[in-house]
Amino acid sequence: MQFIEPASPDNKDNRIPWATTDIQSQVGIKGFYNVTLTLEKADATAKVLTDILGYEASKQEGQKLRFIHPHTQTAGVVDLLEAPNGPRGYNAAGTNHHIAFRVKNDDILMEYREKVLAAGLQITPKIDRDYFFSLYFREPGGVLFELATDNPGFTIDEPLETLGSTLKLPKQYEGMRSKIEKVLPRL
Amino acid sequence: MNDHQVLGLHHITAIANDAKRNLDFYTKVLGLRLVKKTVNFDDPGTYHFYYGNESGTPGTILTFFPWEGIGAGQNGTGLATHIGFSVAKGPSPFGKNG
Repeated sequence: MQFIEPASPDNKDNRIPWATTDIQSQVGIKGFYNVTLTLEKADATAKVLTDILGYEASKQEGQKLRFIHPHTQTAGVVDLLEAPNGPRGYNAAGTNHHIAFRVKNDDILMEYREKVLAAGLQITPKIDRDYFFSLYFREPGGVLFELATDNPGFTIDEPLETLGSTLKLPKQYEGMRSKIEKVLPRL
Repeated sequence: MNDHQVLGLHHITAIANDAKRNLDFYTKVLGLRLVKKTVNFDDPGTYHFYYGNESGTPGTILTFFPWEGIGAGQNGTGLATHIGFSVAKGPSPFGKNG
């Protein structure tokens, strides 16, 4: 994990951080700057970024290749780190499970489904994740990619002011609420 | 901005162990907002926490499945191994690297 002050003078990261009693909003975390994928070989993953997802290759620093999306001011940087002799990752506690790329709505989501299929990769059907619609596909370097929509968003089932304050259950589990609340760990 | 483009990252989902430690670290130490407290779709006895900014904007969302008792994974090839957060210039409550 790293905290980055975006260096470019034209940086327009206007996302508003959350304020807590210890951390004032003006010094808080605005959101993602970049993510780094570690890969045995970067080529095929780079091709997915540029040819399917619309990223542009930027600079190379040693074994690290930087890709930037030209259509977003924020969270638009993906770095690929080649580690040809590195250990294979093992997905359990303390590691990332997947990364999701953002699209505006589910019509556009389905356009990307066609692009992924046209590239010869497998991809799931559209899945309703309650707060967004999703597609999942495994990119050739092994990282699980998701595409996810802005709609409907986190205010679909509680107001902005009280986001996160109560336990929300997917509707198929609402009838089991008391049982689930008993099983969930104490916070 | 072309609406039909990818707009960067939407969220990143990670695996954790202890739910309370995870919640305390991301909300108190990093100061992120818990924007949704729900459960795993396939395993409703496990939480799914979504952390983000003030409005829960896509591109700010880090989510966790805290599976109690799960062992440690290992970073390596085939995984997203590093996350960079954007912060304002100037003095920071986090130091430069965490």
